[in-house]
Amino acid sequence: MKIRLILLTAILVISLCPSPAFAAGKSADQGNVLIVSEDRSSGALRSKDLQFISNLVMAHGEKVTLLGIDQLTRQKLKNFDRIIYLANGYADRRQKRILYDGIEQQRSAFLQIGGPLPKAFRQRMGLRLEDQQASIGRLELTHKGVAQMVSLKRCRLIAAGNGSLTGRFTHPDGPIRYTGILNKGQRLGYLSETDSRSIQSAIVSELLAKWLNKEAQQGKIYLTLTNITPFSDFRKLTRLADELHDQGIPYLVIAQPVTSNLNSAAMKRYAAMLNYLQSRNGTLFIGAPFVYGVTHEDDQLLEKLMSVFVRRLTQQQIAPLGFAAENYWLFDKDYQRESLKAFHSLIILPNQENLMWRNRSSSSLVMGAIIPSMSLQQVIRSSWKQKELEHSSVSLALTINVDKLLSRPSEKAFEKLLYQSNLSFDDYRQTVLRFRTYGQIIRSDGWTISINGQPINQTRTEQPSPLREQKKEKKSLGSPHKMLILIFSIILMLFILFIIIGRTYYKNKYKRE
Amino acid sequence: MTAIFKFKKIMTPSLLAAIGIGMVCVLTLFVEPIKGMADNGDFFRVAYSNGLYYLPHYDSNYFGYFVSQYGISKDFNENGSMIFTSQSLIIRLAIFINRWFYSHTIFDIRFQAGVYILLLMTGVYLLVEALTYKVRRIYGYILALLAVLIFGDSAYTEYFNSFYAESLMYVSIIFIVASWLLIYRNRYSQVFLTILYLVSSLFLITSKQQNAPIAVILALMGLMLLIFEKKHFFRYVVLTGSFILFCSGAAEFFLIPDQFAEINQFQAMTRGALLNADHSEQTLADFNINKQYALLRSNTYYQEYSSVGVHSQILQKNFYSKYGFIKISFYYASHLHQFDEMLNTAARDWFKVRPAELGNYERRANLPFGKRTAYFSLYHAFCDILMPHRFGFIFIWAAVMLGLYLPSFIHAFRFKEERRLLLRLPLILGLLLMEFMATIVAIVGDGDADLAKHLFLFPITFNCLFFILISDSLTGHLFHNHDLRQTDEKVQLPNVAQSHSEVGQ
Repeated sequence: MKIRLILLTAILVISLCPSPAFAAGKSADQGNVLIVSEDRSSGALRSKDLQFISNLVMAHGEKVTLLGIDQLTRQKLKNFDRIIYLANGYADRRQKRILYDGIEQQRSAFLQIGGPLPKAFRQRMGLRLEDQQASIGRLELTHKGVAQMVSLKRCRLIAAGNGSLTGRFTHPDGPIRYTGILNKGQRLGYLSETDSRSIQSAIVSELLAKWLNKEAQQGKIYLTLTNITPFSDFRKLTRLADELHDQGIPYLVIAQPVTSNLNSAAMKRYAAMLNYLQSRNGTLFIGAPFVYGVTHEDDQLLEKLMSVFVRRLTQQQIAPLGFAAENYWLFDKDYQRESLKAFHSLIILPNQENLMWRNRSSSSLVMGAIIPSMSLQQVIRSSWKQKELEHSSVSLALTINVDKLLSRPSEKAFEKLLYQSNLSFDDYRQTVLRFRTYGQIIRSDGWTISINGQPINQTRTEQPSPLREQKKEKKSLGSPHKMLILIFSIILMLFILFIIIGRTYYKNKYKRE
Repeated sequence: MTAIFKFKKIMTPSLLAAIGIGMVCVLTLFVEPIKGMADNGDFFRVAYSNGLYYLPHYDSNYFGYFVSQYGISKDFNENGSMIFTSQSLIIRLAIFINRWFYSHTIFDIRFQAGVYILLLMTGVYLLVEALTYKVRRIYGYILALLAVLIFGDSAYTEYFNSFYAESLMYVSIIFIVASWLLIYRNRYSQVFLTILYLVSSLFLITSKQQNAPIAVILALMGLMLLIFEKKHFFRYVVLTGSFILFCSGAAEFFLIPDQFAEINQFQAMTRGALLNADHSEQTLADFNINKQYALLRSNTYYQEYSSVGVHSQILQKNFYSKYGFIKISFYYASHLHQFDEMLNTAARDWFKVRPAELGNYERRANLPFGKRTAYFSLYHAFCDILMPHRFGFIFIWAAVMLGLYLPSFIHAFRFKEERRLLLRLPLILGLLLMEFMATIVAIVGDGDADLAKHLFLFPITFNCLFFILISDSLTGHLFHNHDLRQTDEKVQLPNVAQSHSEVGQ
């Protein structure tokens, strides 16, 4: 009995003891991917590369922390066991030492993109880097037959290394070189340089998937119509939706939210339009509203506005399955709290010029699905990109701005281009998901979508009431500026006339006297 | 007795008013907790184009807290001039003084307030001098104290601690009225006062784009000065000056930066024509605009979140391109009930000089975000509470003022020896027209958005008229022109009744 009691106590004590990781003060950041860059500013020379890499990592379901190398301390570094270093600017020796020493001590998984690599790391990978003169050659993803002719500037390429080499560069005047390597344990990697627009982006994507052990995943491709606003041409949208529906092409719709006058007839028409798109194979994602400027008068304003809008949509049987926002929204605590957290899925759009930060954070939000985006035209123009997408481990939203389809011919040209490409698009409605958004529970079981348990009608066929045919503007008033110039000129002439008459009158008066 | 005599000799009512104003302003703007005006986003254009930049954490103060310190840019200013405003001259002068006495890297806005305080003291000195010259001292002192109460009110002076153009408008209008009244009183050099009038008018017109239309009033008033002086040089100055005033108004209007024009155009529709429309979609149809834009009804240009960017291509193509201020004016002309409603909306804000959304204190004062001051603001409170807030008031006010000053004008018209005595009524008329124009321009130009600032010309001209009215009532010059009693002794003047009977014959 005593033995049993002792054993029971021992088990209880052991079970209540903190785990070694906890005892060692394991941080909440552990498991995150730290991306260290030399220049984090939005105007940085290669800020797009930073966006591109962070998007890829987040798309693999990882939480990302962004730090500038100048913000790095040994203590901070201890919180991460997977580190990516993007050498996209300048860093002094001391800062680099903190980074490399920390990685060495912690034996963290490490991937460096660009820049020189210390000897210790080169030795661990058996890496031999050699200078490559500026040359034109063929760069290809090693195992997938995806290749592009590229013009490389003077850089350092990989001549040999222990591990899997990727990004084979061949040119007539020299030996084969590689742009990327991952060592055998897939803990250490190096990429000679990045360029998010060339095939090198595919190499980064491939290397990252391997480094994160996510290469087995198969990404999907979604055709995405962007810039759908309450002011869009509804007739054109109806036509486009019908065309895509008839061709059996599913698509995502990024619709802008309405923030005022939600009970107006105009809102009803907009909702009817969105409902129609939903019934014609469209899946609705809500776009982030345009932010004019940041005030802190009401820190719940966005949440309130979105909540009212989403409620209004759901009343009309419209189920938004996700949200779409610029990359920086993922790194802002207020935007995360007020909008992103309310959705399961997110399409990341490229950052625009002005970033309207509210409460900047270094860490991103983990969501059910994060889908990076790319312009459809960019993909259609390059055959290697289309091939690469077939093997991609991350899903991608291929966007087309409906505002660009201004005329019937441009619409036709787009449709032609779409059919000619070898792309096959996936249907987001088949994703199984369930989430609560601003008090509404939205569920998709792969076939039917329901709001608060009530399946929505996805087979609506009647068109929303078309907008009144716009008559050509009468030019009776002309340009306001011209009119004002005329008024000013008349007053000026009267003014001069007044002076002349006054002067003559005055002179005559003296003459009489 | 000697002390009192000495005091009365040195401390003239005008000096007392100037010192009083100075003290009140210093207490308001320089003594902790200092008061000023928070930025609503407009400072950027003026500050950056004059070589200033925001210090870190500036953004969190927008609307709520006033910021007193800015960085002075050392490098070449690549921002250039974003707007055409005479306010830049005052800012540059303040930066120059700041560099001399305080810092080459940090600009304290109180140096600018200091410049404005000196200008206000001078302006009030001249104004009180014009109204109390040769008036019984006791009345003079009463008027001096009244001047401090009216013109030293913090609702107006706290603009000095900001980059809003209202501060320059405020001192300019006081100089305009003061110089005009001094000409009328034949005090000081007439040429100097004429130049002062023209320069002050030029500053007022070019301080802000919305003042462009009053260039016509001020230029015509300038031409009135031709009636009392025959010297060639004087006439040349007046003619040239008036011409410049007119042209500056036109230039100010046409040099409005595109963004400003766009802001005004946007709000003229969303906060104007659409705001009180019974059927907003029909209103849009009148302008040949897609009726979906009814969703923009009541939106401001600065809306924090909106469906599309206010500068987006879709709005440029389908919204802004469809109308201008002329069309808006025609729209109001054909929808008078709506125009009347808008004018009454404006009238409700005539005396709301402090924008409701802007705070008056610095963050370090530890007061709530957006907290406004009530310090030395009795006159403003009096006007805001007691004055009528219907547009019809302007007609009654104009009728009363013109009615009161018409007899003295007729009298002066008959008394041909002193042409300058004709000048008082045109000043009253000019100020009344400015009040009228300020209200109309605010509504047609920008709807009901930001009315407290857009209508700023109304209360400041009203204050001048009110002060003139009180002064003339107190000193008995309401129906009689100044200086006539002395003149009566020298020249046998026909009295008004006699003149009328002569006309009858």
